[in-house]
Amino acid sequence: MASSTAESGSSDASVTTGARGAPPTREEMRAAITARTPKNYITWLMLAFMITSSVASLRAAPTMAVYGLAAVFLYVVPAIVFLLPTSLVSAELASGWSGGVYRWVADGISKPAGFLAIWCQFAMTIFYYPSLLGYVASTFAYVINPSLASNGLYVAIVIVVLFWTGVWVSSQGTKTVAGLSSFGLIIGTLVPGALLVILGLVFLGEGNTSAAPMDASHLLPQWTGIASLVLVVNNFLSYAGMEMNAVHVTSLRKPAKEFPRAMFLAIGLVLLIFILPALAISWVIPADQLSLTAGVMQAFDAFFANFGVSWLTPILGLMLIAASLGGMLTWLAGPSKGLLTVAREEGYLPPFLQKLNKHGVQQNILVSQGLMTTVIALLYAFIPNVSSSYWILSVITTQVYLIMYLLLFVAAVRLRRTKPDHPRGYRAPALTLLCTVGFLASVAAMIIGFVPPAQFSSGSGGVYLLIVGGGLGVVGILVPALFYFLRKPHWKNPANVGGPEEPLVDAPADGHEEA
Amino acid sequence: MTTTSTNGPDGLPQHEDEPGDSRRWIVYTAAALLAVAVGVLMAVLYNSYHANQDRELAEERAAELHAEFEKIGITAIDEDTIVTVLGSDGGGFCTDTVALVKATANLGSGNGASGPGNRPSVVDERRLAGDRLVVQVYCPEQLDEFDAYVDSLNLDETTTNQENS
Repeated sequence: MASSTAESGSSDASVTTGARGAPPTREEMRAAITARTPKNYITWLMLAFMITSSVASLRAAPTMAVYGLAAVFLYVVPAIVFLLPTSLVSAELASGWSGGVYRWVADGISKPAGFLAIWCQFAMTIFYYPSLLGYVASTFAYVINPSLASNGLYVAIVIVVLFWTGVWVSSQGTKTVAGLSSFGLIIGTLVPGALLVILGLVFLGEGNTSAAPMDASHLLPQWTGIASLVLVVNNFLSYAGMEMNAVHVTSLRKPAKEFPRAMFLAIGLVLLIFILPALAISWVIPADQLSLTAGVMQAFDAFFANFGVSWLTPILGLMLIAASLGGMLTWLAGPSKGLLTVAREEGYLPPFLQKLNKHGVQQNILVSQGLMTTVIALLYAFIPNVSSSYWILSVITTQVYLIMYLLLFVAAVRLRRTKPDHPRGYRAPALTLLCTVGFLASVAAMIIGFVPPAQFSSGSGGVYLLIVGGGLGVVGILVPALFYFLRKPHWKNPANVGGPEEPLVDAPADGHEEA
Repeated sequence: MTTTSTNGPDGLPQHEDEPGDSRRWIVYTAAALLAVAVGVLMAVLYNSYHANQDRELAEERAAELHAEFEKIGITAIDEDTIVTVLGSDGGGFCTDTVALVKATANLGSGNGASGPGNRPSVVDERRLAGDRLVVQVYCPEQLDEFDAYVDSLNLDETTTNQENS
């Protein structure tokens, strides 16, 4: 932890002893050290929590618990073909290049491709927030009054207020986001996740038989034809987002060394968070019973009811909300920062969107994104047809996001070949194989995205292909192409955008850390 | 093809300091206080909501649902658990059809993602059968709309977990 004296950061604390000719006192040495100590770095542990918070929470546990022991398979196979490739490749690239996915793809393929990659990551989030906050609203409503969940005004107020609060918090700087999202992960996911697992173990320890069979014959999900393929491949996307926080790599004290460490911890945490709570629920509640719960909270309510601790339900509700909001903060802070980088360096966005606030945060990108999200959220809250068909937007946005992954894997292979000697703090083993597997997994997920789900009433594959393909074309190709072709040379590094310059500071290796 | 970067003389990414934000502790404190306040509010309202449930009606409906489950071969559920979760009014199940449709559609068919990768996956038809019984017992006035929703679903070999049906 940096001492409070570091906050003063007095310039006169530099070493003045030379003029005096006497050895410096302890206080002078301390002042000299603390004066140069950067205060705004985040620890690798915080970054690991940010990565985990972006991707994993307990929200999916009841859904996957229905599959019993096969939930392990449904998470491990996607982890091998998608989580490991995205994570290890991101770890290598972030340990060698700052700037996140834009820089990787720009250096590996081309600058327009880099812009496309970061755009796809950013654009996807605009449609993600309303559904995330809609979930928060329904969780809160479940606890205080379930009928509120269908009240458009209530949902709209919750979404808009929480989203703009999130925008404000994100504008306070990376470290604030890191602190709060870490807090959200611990309070909202790790603690309740551990509680679920402990209660599950207690249940088994008391001699009860697991509700879901835990023998080897149930390790694989039942093969039901194409539906099984859809089930497994759609789960690849469970790990979408592992690369996103790489944009904060320069907020670490020793980026090249610490980012891979953060990523490895995040991989372990994400797997544990997804698998263990789902298993614990499947031990206690029969799959049939889980099928009768109308929401995540009702499933947890049923779980706690088995132990006679229903009073934990509202506490868990609060925890899940904290986790969701923490995750939202990371998504607000990450892609928009990457977009700022390309906007300033290449002039792909007008100067207005490049403005920084006093914390060095891209406030106008956040506000513009917020306005779009607000409009979508209001439609989501007030128009039943929008909310009941919102799932189609989630399909389109995941398709858009997959474009970024395709570019990422191509860029990683090219960088290894074209810049083999570029320093990297970590080199992923068998990178070409990893990228090939990851690329094919992304292609498979994209193909499955064109298979109409049950909610698509007409069931016409052609119409569905047109809708999803059209959405993909507009959001993932047309809009970024417009930005690219409408760019102006004088938008590059404009002098009139204001905001503080961000000096490069070498962090001292003195072990001073601020949690 | 090379862009400028904040890599240092050794070619590796370097720490980049941000402008200080001395108000961080204010944000942290406000967030913690807000969380505590919301938590207390949720606990009070949760207890109040459940205290106002008609216990006798809840037990009656739980027994009816329990019997209906057994008729279609769904694992028998402890009636006390049903009382706790569904109360006398069905809780989150019977708020209204829009909420019900969303709940059924979203929970019943989502993939395993809890982040931005979340999207529809496979529907478990047994879930639909169970859902229908809950609606039938707790909010029969919504049964027609529920049936209309189920009828609108495109249930085929690519969208349903038919082995479980």
